[in-house]
Amino acid sequence: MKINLSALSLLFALSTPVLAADTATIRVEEPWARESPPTVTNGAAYMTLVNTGKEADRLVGASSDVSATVELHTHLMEEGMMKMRPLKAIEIDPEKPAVLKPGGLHIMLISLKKPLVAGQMFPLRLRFEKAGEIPVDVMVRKMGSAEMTENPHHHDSKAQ
Amino acid sequence: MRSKYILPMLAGVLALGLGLWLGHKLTPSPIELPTISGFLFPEPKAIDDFTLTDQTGQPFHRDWLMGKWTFLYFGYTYCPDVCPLTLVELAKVQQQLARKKLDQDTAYMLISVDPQRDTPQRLGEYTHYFNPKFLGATGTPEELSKLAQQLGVVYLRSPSQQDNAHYTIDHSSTVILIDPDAHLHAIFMPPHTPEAMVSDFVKIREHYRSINDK
Repeated sequence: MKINLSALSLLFALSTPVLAADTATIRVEEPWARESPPTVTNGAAYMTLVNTGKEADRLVGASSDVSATVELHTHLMEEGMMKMRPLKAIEIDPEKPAVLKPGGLHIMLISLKKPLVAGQMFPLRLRFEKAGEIPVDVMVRKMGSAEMTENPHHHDSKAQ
Repeated sequence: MRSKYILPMLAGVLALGLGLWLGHKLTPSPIELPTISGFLFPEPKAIDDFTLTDQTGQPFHRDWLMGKWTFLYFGYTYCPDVCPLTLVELAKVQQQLARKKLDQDTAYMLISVDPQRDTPQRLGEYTHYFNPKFLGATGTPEELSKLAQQLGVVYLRSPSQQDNAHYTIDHSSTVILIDPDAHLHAIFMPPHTPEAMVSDFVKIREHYRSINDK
């Protein structure tokens, strides 16, 4: 009986990654980062995390080879100051995408090993409590053009 | 250490706000003040002199501010998110003003609240990247706070990272407008949108001229 159980759990454990991949309920949209200004060794990555499942999930961490440390951060406006603070997790509720964008939630890249160059991509691994690990390629955008996506109508109005 | 500074700073901000409110209540404005997305001082406020160092290593004093409109932003180069965001928006303000031919007498400056890591040279390279017109300055903690307090700007090394070499600094994200008399004229509140700042600045300029032409 004992053997059967552990065999069963082994089988379950082996099949879990496949199951997770099949039922992955987090969609990562438009991961991007700003190119590095000269002398700067910190960066930030942004994206929209959409939960297509029925249960809430949480982004609990991220890692990348581009920097020594990767942390989840947010900004709070308190006492007249913008305060950047590390977060343990970012909640992603169904039907309520988590938007990581400049001035708010972001994934901070601390001590970049080399500058981020516009037009290049770098791999980032996102760790979710339920959805597991999801690798993404982060597009590095030129300064100034980077903020365009914040206002999708901006381009249209300009073209008029 | 921390509480020693935060109280005077908060008191300064409150005093500034009170002064602003009283000024607004008590001063009959000869020409109606324009409405902007921030604070516009009914009586622009004189600034006491200060000594900082600019991006070329030269002294930067109050007198430098005379005769031009200066946009000041307090931040630091290791700031990964809010500072680049604001400098990008400010670069757009400069470009839009240039298109309107209103940028001849404007200046843009990042005041670094992180003199420990931001050398003048580093500041110069950093600011120039955002816009060739951008300048940078920093100085001793005493001189920095002398200027910041007068402008209602507060900053503090993030308490959780006192011993961390990768410390971050909490800071006001306002953009300060100094007028050609070197007086504090307006404070733009975040989030900053270049279009709003440009249209506010155009109104402020016209108002300033209408008063000074009288």
